[in-house]
Amino acid sequence: METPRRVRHPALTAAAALGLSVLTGLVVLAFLGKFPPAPRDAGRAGTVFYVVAYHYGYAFYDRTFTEVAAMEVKAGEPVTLYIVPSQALPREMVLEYAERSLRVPIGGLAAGDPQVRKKILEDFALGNVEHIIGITGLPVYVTTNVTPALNARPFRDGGPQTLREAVERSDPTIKTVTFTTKRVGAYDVLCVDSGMDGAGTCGWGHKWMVAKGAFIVRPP
Amino acid sequence: MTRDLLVLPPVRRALRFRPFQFLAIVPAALVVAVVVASTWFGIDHPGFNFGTVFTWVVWWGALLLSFVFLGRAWCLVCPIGAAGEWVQRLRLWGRSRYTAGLELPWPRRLRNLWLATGLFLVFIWLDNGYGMSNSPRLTAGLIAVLTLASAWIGLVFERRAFCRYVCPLTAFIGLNSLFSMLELRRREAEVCRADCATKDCYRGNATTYGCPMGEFPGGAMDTNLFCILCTECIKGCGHDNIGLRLRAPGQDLWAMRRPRADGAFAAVTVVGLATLIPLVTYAWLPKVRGLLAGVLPAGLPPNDPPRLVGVGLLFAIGLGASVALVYGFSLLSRRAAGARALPARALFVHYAYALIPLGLFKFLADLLDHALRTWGALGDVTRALMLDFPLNRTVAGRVTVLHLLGPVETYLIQILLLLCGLLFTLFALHRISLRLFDDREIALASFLPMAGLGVVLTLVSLWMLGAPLL
Amino acid sequence: MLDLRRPLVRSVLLTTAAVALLGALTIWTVDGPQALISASPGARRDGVKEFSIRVYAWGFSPKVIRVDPGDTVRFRVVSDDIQHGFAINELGLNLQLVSGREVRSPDVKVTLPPGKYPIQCSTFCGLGHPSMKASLVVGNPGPTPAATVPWIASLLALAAAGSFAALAAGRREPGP
Repeated sequence: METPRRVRHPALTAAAALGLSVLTGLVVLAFLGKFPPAPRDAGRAGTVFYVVAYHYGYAFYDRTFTEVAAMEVKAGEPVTLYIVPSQALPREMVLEYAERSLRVPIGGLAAGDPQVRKKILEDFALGNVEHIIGITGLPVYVTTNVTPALNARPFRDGGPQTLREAVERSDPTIKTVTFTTKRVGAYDVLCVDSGMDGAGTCGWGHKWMVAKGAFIVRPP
Repeated sequence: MTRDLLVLPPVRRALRFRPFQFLAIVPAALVVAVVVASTWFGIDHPGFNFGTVFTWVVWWGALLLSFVFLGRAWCLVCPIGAAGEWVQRLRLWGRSRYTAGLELPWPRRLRNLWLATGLFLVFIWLDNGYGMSNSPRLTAGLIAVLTLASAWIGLVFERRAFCRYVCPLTAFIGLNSLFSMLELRRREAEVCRADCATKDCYRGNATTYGCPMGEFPGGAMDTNLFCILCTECIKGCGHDNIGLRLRAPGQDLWAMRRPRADGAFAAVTVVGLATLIPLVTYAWLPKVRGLLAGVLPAGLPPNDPPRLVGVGLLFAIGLGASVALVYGFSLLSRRAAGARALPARALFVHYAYALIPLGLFKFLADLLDHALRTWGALGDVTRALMLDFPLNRTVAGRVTVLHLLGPVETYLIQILLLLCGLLFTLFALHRISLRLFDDREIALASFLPMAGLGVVLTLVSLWMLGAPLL
Repeated sequence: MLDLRRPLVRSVLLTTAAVALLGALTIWTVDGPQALISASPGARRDGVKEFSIRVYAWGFSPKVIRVDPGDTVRFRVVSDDIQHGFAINELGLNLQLVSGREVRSPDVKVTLPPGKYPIQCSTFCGLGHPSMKASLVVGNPGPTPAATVPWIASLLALAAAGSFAALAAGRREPGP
């Protein structure tokens, strides 16, 4: 494959090699998870909310751990969400949260129908305890990972006793996401992962795990 | 039955325009940049991520369709190959005086398709084993690795050595492009032989580059196998002797004067991947995995050694079966044709290329089913991308499931596609047999077993696709 | 008449034998007894038939699930490798699967008429994704019209090839 020779330029070759080496190094580091470096203080930026995801709904708390009906922020303000799967908390709290699902009609069953409780307990027994929390239209897509903390049991032993304790101990089951949004409006919080009528990773009630308009962005 | 597009003034002006290829690459590069941003930073779910849906549904589908009509047109616009070229040339479209590249010749022992075929199989195994096309992050990684490989190889070796010898898709794209309805060839052989001393199409000149794929359009280039339609030769030819012609599909399948064994093996690999390898995996993976689970430690999926080794084993078996099948029918063909026939190995090499339409139309049939069922998801991910452009970290809501056609209707269209592929293969086999044998009866006797092979491979595709209806 | 010294006669016989053998082998692999691995329903809790299915790239194990009309069914599905989907459109089911984690479907009452319904992978999982299908068999449908289509298609393929060969043999003009 003989080619008419262009003039080689060693300096340019070296510069190109250097540039490619840097790029290659960055890609390797990215693969190893070391690039880009994680911000040191991922949490506590701007407004803070704690979102407890249970079977099959959400409870929202503000920075003082007071429950709120919806999360409200101003446009342009950074917000950090702490996503806490209810299974990270002790058994009594898990069941208390789950009872909330009996206060509303769900899955074609009337409010208070005992079948709902049965479905929830079955989901616990099967290990359908993870959630994937998304907020429509916002950069939130968080997968919980509480299964390792359960040690193949439906409830956790020896973990934090309250939500506050879990947060302050930086419990490994809690995931955080920080973002800023400029668009005013009300956004739905939902358990993502499935289409049609199928169950997702949290089991039977996954499809109905939507909090409509639960994240509100007000004008600045 | 050809029509030279270069006689049309607008086409001529466009293709002789120096920045033509660069302008064609720009939109593709922008889209790939968005795909990389989306797959690296965006939602880590294949059904919600724009990058994965776009790459493995839209791009893959457009690629298959481009083979039929436009040959290696993807290679013309591919930003990955361009990356290597830009590093080497130090200019985006002009003929540069300097080069950053070392311009070493590609090693002689690697000047074939064996490496590329091997990498193609590795690529498919990675996809099956680790779900590369199922993972946004791995898709981003694949694009990054290929781009860096192209840049490094462009820096060290001459021309587009990556595109011709290394790219995992070069064999797949090149072989399927033999089917296309577009060809770039010299017009009058005598002009090149007698009137042209400089061979600018191959060597380049002061204002144009020689063929980046190392082909010689003025001489030996008689198929689309390596022509990436970059139009350098059109710009460089001082005798205006290069034509870009529309033609009936499939002509290159029987046009090769000296078909090579590496291409034939690659053709059998591609066709095997479409037919026998899925059959073997479908039939035996659970059993093989079960057997290996008794020997190898289990792991967390997808890093599960029994499954990974099982898949690799079945790929090897399926590939071996494909080669054995084609070789076996070549033996039958030789036996049927009589003692004066070519050796079976030579028949294998000649006839293998004719099988390409079987694979191409099977892939198109797969694509049809996939596109019809994924239409809704494409809308979802595009909306999600628009909501958070270009990082794609949001969901747009629940997944839309939209099936445009039912399974039976889809299968009927797939049958038409597969029969189309079979007919093209039969025609190509017939033409090859007539070229190989002077005696018409012997040519027919040689053709029939290979036609039988075409029927068998079509049956494999028909039954694999029809299995759920049974 | 059958002069085996004639290349064409030899060729026709060899080809017919090879195609018949390999065609039968193909059909047997796809539709034979070992392929019709049926799921047997597991524990019947509260009258619900429960099926356990493994999903992998690229197939389902088992490939056939048999239920009766009026049954209430539940599926426990796990992916052996990467992300897949388990979708039965007619039952309104679409489970999204992640590696190694079992997902349980809602309990679904089968109100479909007897027949065969496709089960498909609904999450793109690689190049073999379009081939990833299984079957839900409701009742005893017997051979459905759709089940004959692969047979008809096979005959069409044989007819196409045979016609082409006959035409090629009948041509008088020399080749290229």
